[in-house]
Amino acid sequence: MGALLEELRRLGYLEGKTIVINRWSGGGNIGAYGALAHKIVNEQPQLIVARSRTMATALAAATREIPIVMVGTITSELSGSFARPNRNVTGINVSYDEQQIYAKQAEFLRDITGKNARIAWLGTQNLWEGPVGKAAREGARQAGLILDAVLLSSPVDEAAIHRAFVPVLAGRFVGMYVSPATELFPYRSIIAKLAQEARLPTIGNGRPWAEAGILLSYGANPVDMYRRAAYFVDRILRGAKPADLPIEQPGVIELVINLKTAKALGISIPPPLLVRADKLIE
Amino acid sequence: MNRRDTLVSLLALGIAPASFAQSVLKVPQIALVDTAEQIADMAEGRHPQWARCWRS
Repeated sequence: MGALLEELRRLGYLEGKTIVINRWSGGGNIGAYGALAHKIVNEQPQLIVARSRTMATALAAATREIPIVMVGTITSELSGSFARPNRNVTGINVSYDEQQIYAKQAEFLRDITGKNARIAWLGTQNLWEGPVGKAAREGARQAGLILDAVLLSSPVDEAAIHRAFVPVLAGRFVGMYVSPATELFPYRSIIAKLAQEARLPTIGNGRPWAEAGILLSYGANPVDMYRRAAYFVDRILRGAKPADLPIEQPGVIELVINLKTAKALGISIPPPLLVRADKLIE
Repeated sequence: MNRRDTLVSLLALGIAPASFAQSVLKVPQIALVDTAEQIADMAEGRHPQWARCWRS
């Protein structure tokens, strides 16, 4: 969200002078998101910027009045029409199935692990059971991979991640997907370290994952998305309604390969994958 | 620091009621909501209000 704050400043919103920004976090405690949403709505902010479908769903259940600018997977239950949102939710939609993100991720991982490889899908239960999990399973099926969920308990914290890695470190898998569960993001360096310990080629969503030491990342650039989210905030603060602001999709989905991690794992990246990469971390 | 700046500071610390932002100071008040601690990771370092919000 740093890019959002930076872009807001560029647009003339000076925190503590011309805008008050209240920061809230679920602390990875998924079961408490509903209560947190009510607490936020009770403070009656002019608008809410939310990350993740799970959090936005809780917020949308708590208010139909306060505009919600969301970055993540926006389902039709949240927005109604994408072209003219008929609820109070708009923003940037990362659609894992429509944009074939998981299909590509599975394909890139298969290029390294080979077909019929057993892959651990690291994420939360609500994500596994929702549209993101469905897209992941479909992507794996198309790529000829066997996908098993490795679910994190809530609250998602360092201890939960270490517990989830017990079956992973036991050698049941030959590769790993890190799901786009936003609760995992603060722990990306720990996950990258554990994935290396397990000797697993791993793919995550978006450049920060590869920069943290994950072998591959494929996804939209979060900096671009949050910068664009500032446009939605600005328009709404100037009087626009969510219905006036069609939901957008990120235009660029990039592949990043961490060659240092490849070397540490003793993996040779297939040349077509190297050519396909938008960025190589050396 | 004038009275207005004092109020803004109190709002940022979560001490003054949030409704002051819109009704008294006439500045917009928005909420940034994350699922985990990445606001602090990615933006400006740990923010006092942020810790107050999710731990309470």
